[in-house]
Amino acid sequence: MEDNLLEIKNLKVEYHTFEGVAKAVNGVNLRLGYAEALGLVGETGAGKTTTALSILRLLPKPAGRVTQGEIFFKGRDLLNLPEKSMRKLQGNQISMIFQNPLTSLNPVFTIGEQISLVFQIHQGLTRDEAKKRAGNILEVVGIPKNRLEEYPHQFSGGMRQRVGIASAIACNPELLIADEPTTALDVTIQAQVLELMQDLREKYRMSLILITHNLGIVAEMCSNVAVIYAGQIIEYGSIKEVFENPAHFYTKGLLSSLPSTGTRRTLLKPIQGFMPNPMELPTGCKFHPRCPSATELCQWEEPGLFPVSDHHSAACFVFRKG
Amino acid sequence: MRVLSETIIDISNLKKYFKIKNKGLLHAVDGVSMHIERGETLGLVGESGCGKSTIGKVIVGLESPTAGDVSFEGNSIFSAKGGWLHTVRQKIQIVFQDPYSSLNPRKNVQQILSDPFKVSKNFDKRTLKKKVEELAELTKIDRSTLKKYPHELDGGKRQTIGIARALALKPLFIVCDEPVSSLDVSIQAQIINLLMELQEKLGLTYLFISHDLSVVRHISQRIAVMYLGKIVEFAETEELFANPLHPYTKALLSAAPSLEIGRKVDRIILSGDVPSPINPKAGCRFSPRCWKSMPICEKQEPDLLEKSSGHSVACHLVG
Repeated sequence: MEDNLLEIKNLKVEYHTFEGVAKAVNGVNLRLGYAEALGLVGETGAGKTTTALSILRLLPKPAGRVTQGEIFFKGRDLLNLPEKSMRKLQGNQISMIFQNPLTSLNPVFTIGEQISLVFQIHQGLTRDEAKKRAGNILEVVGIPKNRLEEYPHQFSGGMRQRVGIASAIACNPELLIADEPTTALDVTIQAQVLELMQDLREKYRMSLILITHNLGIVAEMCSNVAVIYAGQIIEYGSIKEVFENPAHFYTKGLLSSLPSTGTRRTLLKPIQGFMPNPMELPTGCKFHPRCPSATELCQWEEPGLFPVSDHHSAACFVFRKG
Repeated sequence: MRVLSETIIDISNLKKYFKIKNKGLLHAVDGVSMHIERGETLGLVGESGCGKSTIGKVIVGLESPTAGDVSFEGNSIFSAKGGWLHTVRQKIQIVFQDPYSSLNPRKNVQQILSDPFKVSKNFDKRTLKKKVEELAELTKIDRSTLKKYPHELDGGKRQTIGIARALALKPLFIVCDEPVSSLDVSIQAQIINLLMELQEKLGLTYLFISHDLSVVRHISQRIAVMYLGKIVEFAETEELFANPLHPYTKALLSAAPSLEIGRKVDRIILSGDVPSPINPKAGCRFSPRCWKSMPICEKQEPDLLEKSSGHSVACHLVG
């Protein structure tokens, strides 16, 4: 058996648009173990969602193109899998929860029909059997069975996200990718949904990639975290290591720009400057124009991930030995 | 010269109902009273649909109230006419949540920032240009940005322009309606800093509306917690976080994910969703979700009463 459930090697993704080529993902390397919960953290446009969509081969076509790299799921090369085999994985062994539950559900079908479809496609169940299973899975996420015949607009935001979770976990996936699952929800509802996800994950021993910009959620849900900036993983490690002892200047900046207890009414310390435009990325380290301690080397050479401690690495020359 | 009272905005029993076809009345704001002191930042927190933005809109005159009154420096703003109305409109401004939809895409920054001046007075071209440049300097907007159109700018820059526009006519009071909610963390910090620096420099008073507790905690001196059109708790920031009294406030505080690793929270998970504000039932509005609900809660609505100095709560439990 493989050690890793998922392995991404040097993934590069571009979007070809009328304005030019946007380099969304620029060499992402990631490993995910069995039953591991990994947080993928970054700001808007960092390439979080693009990475997730590449795993499922759901990049918008024809604009989105994987130009380089490999993705292995249980040893199988996902990017070169025939369409038919990929279909069998999608929503079955790998499934995804999307950010906006209103747009990820089809408004003209009842939620019962939408969840049943998963069972019909992947497990070959008849409509009636599938409906029954859909009812059961709906109860697992805390929605009464009798609402199967209702349409998405009849549900509240939190309930819709539960429906999204229900169809994602319907086939007991080994890998669940949750793309900002609670960003569109209120705090008290967010707490409900996160608790539900945590319970289900433990119950079914799923691996989780949790994509979010909310560092607090990652700290609570995940064991490891990868920080992504301009399409590259710039820091990786256990939650404790990364949050208590951040190594990369970007991670440090991110953490210090958050308002926290005890810093009331003082000026926050934002990161200077803005995210680089993915159409004109800087040379060298992508963060160097905003980095407080950039050297000349950073302008020309791109740092790889250097080890900081046993279970912690950062893409910064500060940690290059020798 | 008139002696200015310490209270700059006084809201008394403000109500705003919306008629919903075939459904009834939506009680967006249902009897809110509070006062905002000069120079302070009052945080207004609550979940979506609880009426926090509606309060802001009523104060700046974008919505007219169903009942109740808001006074600015001691005079009602709803009966304002002529010169006083003109003053009120200048002195009370708003910064909107979404800097993408609040700026006219067909105007460049120079034109957007000229608009408030044009509305208030007939300036000649040169004065106008100078005024806009001063404004840009105050809010640290690059000169080169003035020629640009909103779509050329990112969220943080756009929000800065929204703030600059609100500051143009030298207001005293600004409603900040979720000004950082749509921004990334690092940009959010830049905008919060700008707001605080401007407050210090110009002696502004803010009503800071947000659903993000950590941001509100950082910027506000006092906080009002809203639930379904009502204020359920009101206290100074430290007091509210150290000693929350209302069950909803407790749930809200415990629900926010924290960065403290290994923090063991007794998280209070509320069951159900926020009920509909259309034709709300009698009794405490929070009682259907409250784990401490008593028979009286379903019959009688609790009043917002002061429990200790400056700390008010609307709950039957806290007697």
